[in-house]
Amino acid sequence: MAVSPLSDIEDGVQGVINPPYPLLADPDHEVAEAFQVYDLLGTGYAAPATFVIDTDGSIVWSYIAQSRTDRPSANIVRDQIP
Amino acid sequence: MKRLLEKRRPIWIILGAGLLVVAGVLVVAAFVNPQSAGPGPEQTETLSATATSLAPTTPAETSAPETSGAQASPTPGSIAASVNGYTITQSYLSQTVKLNTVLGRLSGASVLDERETLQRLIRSQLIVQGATAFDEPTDEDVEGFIASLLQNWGVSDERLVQELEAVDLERAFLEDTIKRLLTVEAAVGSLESEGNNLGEWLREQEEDAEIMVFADLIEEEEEEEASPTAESEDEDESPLPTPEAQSQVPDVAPNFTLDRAGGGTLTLNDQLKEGPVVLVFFERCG
Repeated sequence: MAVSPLSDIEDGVQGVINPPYPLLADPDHEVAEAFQVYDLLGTGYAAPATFVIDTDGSIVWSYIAQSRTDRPSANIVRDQIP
Repeated sequence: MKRLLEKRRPIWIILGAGLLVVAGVLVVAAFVNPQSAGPGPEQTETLSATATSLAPTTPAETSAPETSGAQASPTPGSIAASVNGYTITQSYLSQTVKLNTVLGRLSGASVLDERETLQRLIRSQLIVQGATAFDEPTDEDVEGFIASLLQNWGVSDERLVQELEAVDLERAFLEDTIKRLLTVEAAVGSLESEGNNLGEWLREQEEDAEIMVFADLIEEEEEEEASPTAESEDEDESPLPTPEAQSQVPDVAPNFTLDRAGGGTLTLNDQLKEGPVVLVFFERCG
């Protein structure tokens, strides 16, 4: 699932990008803060970040971006899924 | 960024960065000039063997990537990263890390890992691309700098060469690296003399630049998370700013319920009943 800070995620957005996963809105960045990724890059937004969470809720892997374009590849993330 | 690039001769291709100590820690940035100095036969081969965005440097030898998100596993000759079309090869990154290790051993300084080194390389490249007027260092500047390093460390040139050879590096590689360091320092001086705050300036450049990272550096990332203190100390000493202190990632994911695009809500714990979850934060949508 993906979390965006925009509060106005609408059907249209979902339709346009049509991601095969839930797209969630975190306009008050509460979840970003809970995961300790809010404003890490000084942008006033969540830093791009990826968490792999096991069924017991434990975070088994994470990747916190060092820049806005810094993201792990899908293959890398896939290999971390328990 | 493109406007700035056009102002300068497109001569620099990145190639390295690391840490040195001279009464403190200096960032070493290394670049290779593929047109006047040449990346060397090994790098030429690796560039031509790898399809990625290399149009400004090797237009005839490569093709554009299918998608910027496609990241291949690194091989010795592959591209580690691309900054506005200029490339950092995996082999050069590895050589720079080895050089940093040697210099760290001689100086007693902490050593940047591969991921941090790559980050410095990318920033150094942005700086040199973005600065418009600065004097490039001479060979005398380079030798003078190396001599002052050795004097500060109490190390002879012979031992330096010996240590470098032990990891298959030539002294010329150190000279190139120092030359790039001095170039970056001059570029930083030029930017700051124009009234730029380097940290803010770099953040803007990183937002506007086309930066692609192909290197698979996950192991280093995990090590960083295990030792956030050491990393933040390093950041304090560095003249090149890096993002704020690393996040203290929680051990257990805090539950949440958020609105879903398309309507309804989603609760993390409900989702976890169905299996593991990959949670991705985007800075902004789109």
